[in-house]
Amino acid sequence: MMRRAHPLQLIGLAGIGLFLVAAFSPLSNAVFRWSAAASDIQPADAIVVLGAAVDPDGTLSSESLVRTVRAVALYRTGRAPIIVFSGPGHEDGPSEARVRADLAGTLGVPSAAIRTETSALTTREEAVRIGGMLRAENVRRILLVTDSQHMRRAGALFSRGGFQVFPATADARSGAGTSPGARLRLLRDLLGEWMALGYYRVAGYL
Amino acid sequence: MIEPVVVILTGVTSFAALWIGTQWLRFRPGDLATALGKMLECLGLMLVFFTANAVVGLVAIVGGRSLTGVFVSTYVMSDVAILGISFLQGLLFFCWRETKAGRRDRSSRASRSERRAGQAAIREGG
Repeated sequence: MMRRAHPLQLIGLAGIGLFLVAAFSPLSNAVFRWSAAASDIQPADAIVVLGAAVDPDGTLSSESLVRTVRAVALYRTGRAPIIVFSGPGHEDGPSEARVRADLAGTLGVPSAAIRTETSALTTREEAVRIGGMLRAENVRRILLVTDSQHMRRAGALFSRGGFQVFPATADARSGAGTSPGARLRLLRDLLGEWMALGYYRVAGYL
Repeated sequence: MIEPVVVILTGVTSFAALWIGTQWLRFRPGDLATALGKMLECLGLMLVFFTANAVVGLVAIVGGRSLTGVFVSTYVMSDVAILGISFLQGLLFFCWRETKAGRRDRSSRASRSERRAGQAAIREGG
């Protein structure tokens, strides 16, 4: 007669199954591509670049760097006359927004076209504070620069704030992870964003 | 191209461990199923700890924000260190439980042999 499995054994088995599927099958890539927002580049009044992360020594994270370069490219091709860089810093280091603004200046964006927001700590706070700043400048149409998974949540917040949002996605990771580690990281990012989306819905922010 | 390397590498070391276990250390191949069951239990415990850490962490961060105004990013919960520490917690708890089970087995074996010795002494005396 077969012995009944212990509940912990079933949890362990499910964990191994999930790990194998996530690491060694194209599922993570497929789900990433399915839930990614698409870009819709249109002429706008401003380019809004949401924060990612910066180290205390002023080194931008890959995500932050990719978004900054994407925004500069949009500006240099004449899509909008203003760029807003967002991102706080650490107590003993420069803000992410300041580092990005300096980089944009080096890449040829005039300082008169750059705005910074250094106090917002969450996506919701970014939408509120940048929204207030842009409304004062009569901005209505924005090109929103963030990663393709974050775009759904961020875009909805800015739309609620009365802006017409055009997504300009900028991903540090593609939906074509070619190694087990890359696919596991994709799945971790997806789960994190889905949890954040769920929290924003439950909290009534969206 | 990475997948075949991973599969071949881990396959080779697994077979080497099987060979060393059966040939050198005299492990019984039949015990492998029991060991697999214990490994799954241990992994299950690790995942229980990981889930508990994630839930408690998120509740503490979100609750702490609204009660104290101190901001901690929820992104800290996606740090891989939490997964590693959860696995260590699960492993320690599993080993602790096994130690208790081992002691129970030893004491029941000891009481059985004491009983047998007592019965033998009675028979000899009779």
